[in-house]
Amino acid sequence: MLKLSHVSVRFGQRQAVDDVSFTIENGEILALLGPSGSGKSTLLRVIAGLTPSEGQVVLAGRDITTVPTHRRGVGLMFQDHALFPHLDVGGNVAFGLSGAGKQERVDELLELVGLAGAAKRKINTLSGGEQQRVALARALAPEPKLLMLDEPLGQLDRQLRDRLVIELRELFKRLGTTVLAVTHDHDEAFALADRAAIMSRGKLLQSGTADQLKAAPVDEFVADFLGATASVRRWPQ
Amino acid sequence: MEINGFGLVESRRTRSVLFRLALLIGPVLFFAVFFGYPVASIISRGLGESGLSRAQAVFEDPAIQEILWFTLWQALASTVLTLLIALPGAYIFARLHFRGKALLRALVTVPFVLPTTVVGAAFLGLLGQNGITDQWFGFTGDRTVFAILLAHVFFNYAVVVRTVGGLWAHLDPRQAEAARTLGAGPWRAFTRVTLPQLAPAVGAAALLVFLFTFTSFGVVQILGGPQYATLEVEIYRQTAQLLDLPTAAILSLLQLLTVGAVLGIHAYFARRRARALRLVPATQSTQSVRGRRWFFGLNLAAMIVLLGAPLAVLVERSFSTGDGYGLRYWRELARNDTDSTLFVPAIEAVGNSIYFAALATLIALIVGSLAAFALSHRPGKFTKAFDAMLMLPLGVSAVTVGFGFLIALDEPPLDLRDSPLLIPLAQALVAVPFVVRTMAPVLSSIDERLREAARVLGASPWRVWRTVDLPLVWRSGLVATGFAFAISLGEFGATVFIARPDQPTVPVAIYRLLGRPGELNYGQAMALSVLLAALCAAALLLLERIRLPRSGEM
Repeated sequence: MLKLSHVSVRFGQRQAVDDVSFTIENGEILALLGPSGSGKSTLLRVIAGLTPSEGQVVLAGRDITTVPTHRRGVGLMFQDHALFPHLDVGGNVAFGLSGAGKQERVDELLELVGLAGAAKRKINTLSGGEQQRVALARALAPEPKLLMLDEPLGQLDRQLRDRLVIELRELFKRLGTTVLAVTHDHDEAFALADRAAIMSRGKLLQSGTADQLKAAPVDEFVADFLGATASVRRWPQ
Repeated sequence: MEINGFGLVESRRTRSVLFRLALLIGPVLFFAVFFGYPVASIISRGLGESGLSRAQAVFEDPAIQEILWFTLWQALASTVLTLLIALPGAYIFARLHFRGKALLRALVTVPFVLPTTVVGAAFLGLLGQNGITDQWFGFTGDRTVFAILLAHVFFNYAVVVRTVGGLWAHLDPRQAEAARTLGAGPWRAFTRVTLPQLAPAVGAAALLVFLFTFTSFGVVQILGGPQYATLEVEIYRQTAQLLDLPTAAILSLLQLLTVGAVLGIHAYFARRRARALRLVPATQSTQSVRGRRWFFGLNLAAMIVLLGAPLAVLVERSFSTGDGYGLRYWRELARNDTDSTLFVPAIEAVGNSIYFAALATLIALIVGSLAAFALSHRPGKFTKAFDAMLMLPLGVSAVTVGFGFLIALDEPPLDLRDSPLLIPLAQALVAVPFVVRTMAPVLSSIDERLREAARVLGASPWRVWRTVDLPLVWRSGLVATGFAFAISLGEFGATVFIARPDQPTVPVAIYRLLGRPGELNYGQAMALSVLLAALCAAALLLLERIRLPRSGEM
């Protein structure tokens, strides 16, 4: 579905993304995992066409490297959601829709994310979890070929995250959505995704399933990153 | 074959930069022709013929030296006095919540949009001959520094309240609270934690008040009498009464340099002071009035006496006919005597004013919104320079603008003497900085990710502008319209130079009526002032109804 070849991004002196290549199969969920500043979010922006890069991006067999953002057919859920404050919930979800049947589609999507009947609510009356759901419905609405999530559960509390991550996975599998999710939390990555790709300092170090990565980490960084966070979690509350 | 998207995306980015620069062409041309060219004419007129020796002679004149000294110290005194009186007021609006706050905030802003001639007339009615204090206590205070300073505080109170209060409301109160838990008393918490964070806003407000009072014209012209004159008043006197254009040009030049220097110093310090502040929504930081009743009451009293009384007096004077109250002065507005001061019925000035102000508002909106849009995206060196240039007409003073128009635009290649656009152009020049200052902050506060989110959802650049930028910015456009209209309506310094005698605007008519003896002229001036004040206040209050989430403050 998505194929990246030798993608690099340089910000002045800093190599934010360094020669990254990978593929995502149709209907697959891939998590981009890595510490903050490792270039994950930049990579999402490259795929969305918001940040210029070197290399090639192919989506559904079409080279989209030079296609402007609004004609790419990818969806992106921003880290702080970036909901439009001047539109209500329904207006946000309907933004990417066109033609007849908008209203039905909005209702359908709001029901899908568990916010049925919230179309008329204002954005500033929503809780963090609700905003996250609206952002998801808005990103799903135009039926993007690839849905990208930037720290989708970032600001929510632990309990809510544990529940939502399962819900999200079920939802994406049911809809057959191809997903690329960025996260710094490997528990979240493995709960959500089929496969994870680990990034550090702009480089893609290794990708695979949870078992593959834990069984045969390619270097010390990957081992430390997966191991260290795991051991921290084992401390009693 | 290596496929590389970099070149193409890069060229798209360059195109958008070029587009922004193209937007600036209109405003830059406007300023070059209607500001740069007239000012250049003043310079060549002032230094051209006899050069520096003439300038030296002007500055060695003790009368001029006295004027310079007075201009400087009254501006400093007005600034300090305004800050002392208005900072507690800023606190009230920023940190306390009470009923009718929005209305009170709108009301204290009214003086700021009042024309300077109206402010002069109001204080003349309060302190002048046959004024209230004269009638009640036999005390006249016009023609004193006291009256001028009071009028300046009246006019600039809102500048401080809104500039400083706007930031204050969004400062995180927990930082001062943290200081308190660390053992600081309220005063220490204020001076060590709150005040340093407010410094940029206090500095900006002080700068504006200083510039407004340094270049004060209408107020000093009416209240100063013969003994007190600012540079601005002297430039007008040299031009209109003594017909000494070279001297006027040298003084204009001096004022231009002073204002430029003050703006430059401010820009230097503003850059060094710039730091990230932790801002919170305003509603999170307010407290109840309880426990601060005395402080609140004192401030309220100051507002009523200082801001309310002069306006109340103005209304009272317009109906007070000497032997009771009546509508005589109001009726007189529509009559045209043969020995009339204005050549036309005073009421015609109202029509002139509205007509000119509407044209000026249109020009200011077109030029100002183009500039604001071009300036709002990651300013480069060139746009920064233009931003500073935009402020110049504000500080350079209206009299210089009017004088420049008078000597530069009356002969080919640009002869606008008979053009109905002459006055609107001058007024627009004064109003454009306000339009830009209102719209640019709102435009640049739009989160770039909102535009990105729209693009990811398939919106073309045009649709992004229409569905994201426009809905978020149209309110600030309306507010800018109101400001531009009120300012154009009350513009005096430039208009008095270029208005034809038989086509006066209201501020010019008020000034001429006040300059003539006789209670009929005086009463008509008061009535016209009430009318103009009502028009300006209505424009402002209407716009205060449109609440702005993050509006630019002046």
